[in-house]
Amino acid sequence: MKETNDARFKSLLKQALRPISPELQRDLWPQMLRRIDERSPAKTVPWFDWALLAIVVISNLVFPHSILLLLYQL
Amino acid sequence: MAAQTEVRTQFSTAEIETLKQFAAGDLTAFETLFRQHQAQVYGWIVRVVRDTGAAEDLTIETFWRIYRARKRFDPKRSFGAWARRIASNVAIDHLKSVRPEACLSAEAVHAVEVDSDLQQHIRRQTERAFRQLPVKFRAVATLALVEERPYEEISKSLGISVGAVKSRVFRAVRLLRKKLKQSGVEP
Repeated sequence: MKETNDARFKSLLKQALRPISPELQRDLWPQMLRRIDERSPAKTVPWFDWALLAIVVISNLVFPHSILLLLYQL
Repeated sequence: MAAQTEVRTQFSTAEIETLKQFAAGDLTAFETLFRQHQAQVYGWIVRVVRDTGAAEDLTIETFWRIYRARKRFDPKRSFGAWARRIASNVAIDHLKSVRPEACLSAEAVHAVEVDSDLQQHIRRQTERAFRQLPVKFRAVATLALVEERPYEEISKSLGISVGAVKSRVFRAVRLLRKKLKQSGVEP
């Protein structure tokens, strides 16, 4: 009885739902690569490094002698 | 231990090496695995969501989740089974996000000019009732009743027991019958 019921519902559902081809029609790798490029963390210089560079440049301009100190540190 | 040995023997040395490289973050290894498994993952997703356009996007989403979780992947396990499990979750998440009525118009086109009014009415009501099923019942019913996939395969892919699959199919059929009766269709 239960099997008959299941068969009846199988038949009803197969008629009601659009048949779907499970075959993939194209290679999705290019899309995948785009996704990886878009979502991967960008390889940018952190803001802190830019701020540090700005401080060094400004201090070198304001206090030219600090260039010697910087060269000594390098 | 015996199971692990069995799993190991299923893969060639080259495959295990590719899986190890993938887990270590190698993009070429990921490409190899992607090309090997994309058709299988897509085929599984499209069976659940029944929308080819969405299935392509969801295949990409599945592999994106796989790529992000690569460090947690155990190269001794089956990549295909892991991918299918993730694909099932992605497909079910998608079904949850789509309103049941959203697909009705597209599906209805299928029936136009083919059937008598009565048959068309039955089809539409069946489809409407089906779309209103809770997602976890709908996914299992699609795979078991429409696609006729084995219960064992469904259980592994969804990460539930075979008993739970049978129970969901049973409850899905019972709910469908109730909804169809309410809309005047006697299944």
